[in-house]
Amino acid sequence: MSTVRCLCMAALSLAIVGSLMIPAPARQDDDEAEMRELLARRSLEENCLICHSMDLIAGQRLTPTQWKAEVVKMIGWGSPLPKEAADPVTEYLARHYSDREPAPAPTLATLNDVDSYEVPRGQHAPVEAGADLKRGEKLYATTCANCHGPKALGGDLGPALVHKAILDRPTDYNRILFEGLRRMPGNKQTLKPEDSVAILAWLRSLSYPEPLAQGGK
Amino acid sequence: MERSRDSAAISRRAWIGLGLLGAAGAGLSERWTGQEASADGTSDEGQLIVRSRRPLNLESTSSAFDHRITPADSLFVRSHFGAPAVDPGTWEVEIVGLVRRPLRLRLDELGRMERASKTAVIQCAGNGRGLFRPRVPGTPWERGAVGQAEWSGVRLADLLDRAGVPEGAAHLHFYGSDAPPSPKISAFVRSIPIDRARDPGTLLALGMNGEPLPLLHGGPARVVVPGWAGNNWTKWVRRIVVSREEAPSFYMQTAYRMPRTPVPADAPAGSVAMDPVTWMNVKSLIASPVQGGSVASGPVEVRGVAWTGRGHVTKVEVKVNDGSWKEANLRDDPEPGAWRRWAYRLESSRPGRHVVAARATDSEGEVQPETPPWNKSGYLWNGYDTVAFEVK
Repeated sequence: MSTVRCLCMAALSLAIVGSLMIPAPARQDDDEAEMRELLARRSLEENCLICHSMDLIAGQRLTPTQWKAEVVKMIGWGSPLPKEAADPVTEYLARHYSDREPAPAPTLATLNDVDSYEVPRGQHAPVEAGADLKRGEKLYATTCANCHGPKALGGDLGPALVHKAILDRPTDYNRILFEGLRRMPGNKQTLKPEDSVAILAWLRSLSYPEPLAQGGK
Repeated sequence: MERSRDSAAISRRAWIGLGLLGAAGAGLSERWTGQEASADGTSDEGQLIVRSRRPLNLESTSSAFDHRITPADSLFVRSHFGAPAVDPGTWEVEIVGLVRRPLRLRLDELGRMERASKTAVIQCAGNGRGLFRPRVPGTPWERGAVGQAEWSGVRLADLLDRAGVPEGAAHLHFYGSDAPPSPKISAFVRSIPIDRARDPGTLLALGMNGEPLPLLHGGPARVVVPGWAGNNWTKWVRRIVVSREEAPSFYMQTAYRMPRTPVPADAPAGSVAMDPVTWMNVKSLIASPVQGGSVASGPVEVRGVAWTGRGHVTKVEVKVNDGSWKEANLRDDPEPGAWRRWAYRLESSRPGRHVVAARATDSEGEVQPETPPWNKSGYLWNGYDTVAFEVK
């Protein structure tokens, strides 16, 4: 192999390697940034949306300092956001919901159309006389209480269910119970339709505030 | 189905493209982002602006200000923790604490007491929060967290007389029935002073606009405090505690307080004397024309509503483009806590774009300012209302 040819091959090899190598760090940075973005979004959805909807965040436009204060406040209010996720989530919020950008125009809806579990549907019916509340309570204790709290007043991973409008939306209630929602697993394999009825009846028999003597903090 | 306001956003861009916004005198119209006219220039009767789905926060559009009484399905909706799924048949209201005869009354028992009614404005303390600069955290209501209804129910004074209140009783604590998502989050508990509770207009409302009080508006039972902002109108009341002190709750002692005197945005927290948000301030809104709408050439009626906290509205003035303030005609008799409709006839309007502004004055001599003092929670915005529209 001539020296010239060797040099040519070497140059070609360098060019090929170079073409592979030079963009690599940039792509790696992009990948890492994308991963950080995905993880931050997931932390936000899994922790913040336990208590409120995404539009409560997305309608606001704040400075990084204000977003940081909001995250600190929410952790103080019991958000289970892990400590290591606080900074990435704060950065995510500041990047996507910056006070430098206008908020998108909100949607319009009538009371009948609005896509929210917060709207009870139809008349609230009293708990059926024959409902097996004891069975409902027992099933709740084994299936739901770990996240939603022993008295359905909420826990770190599941919101309060007592008095919630979802109890008057049986279709939505059943869909979430059987199919799950975000971190909540579906219970298709473990619960039968009659179990769902019993749990719903027990939840609907609860009262809030109970005992009435308790107030806020 | 919810529908996007994108078409409205496009219209807004079109306005900007035509140079119809952002010119001198139009700055105020850009304070609020809403573009309410649909393609045919009509308003959005029965539609509500979705601020958040959980908690459910829905804002009224301009059409809600075009009535003396806001129809129930056009009235804004706001809560901290959501409407409770309740059985009105088992609903009871307790009156306990510093009383001689603790009471526990079912709805039918409350319904047998002397009925009282009051027409009054309900306005969220944070209405207009989205218009403050620098921006503040919280639901960015623009104009429509306000409406007026005919409330009916039982006077709180009558309940207090029935329970018997000894010397020293000074505050009524109200416990809502909306459970926070977790026990770590403070329950919504608020109090009002007993003198305000004894005002003949202050009610435990069971009805609204001639119907049982809708659940989304606090039914079966909510507090009505005419002249005071909505934070004092506790919804879903099941327990009233009479006490010597204000409620010690988060929502009384920390939230819903604003500086006694205006302070700059960078004032250190804790250095400022804060009072509970109570009396509303003087304010007017334009119902018609709607923002971004178009009207036929010829006379244009500019109309809307105006209200205040203490006293009543005595004057509304309207300014068109760079003209001077002109007095509008007030309709409806003055009534504490209620709004008055007003109208101004713009006799000649050349084709093209116009910006109209409105400001109200009340019987205490307060005048609606161009921009109110900033506060960190964005309470009680009452800057001039402005609307840009086109004459064809």
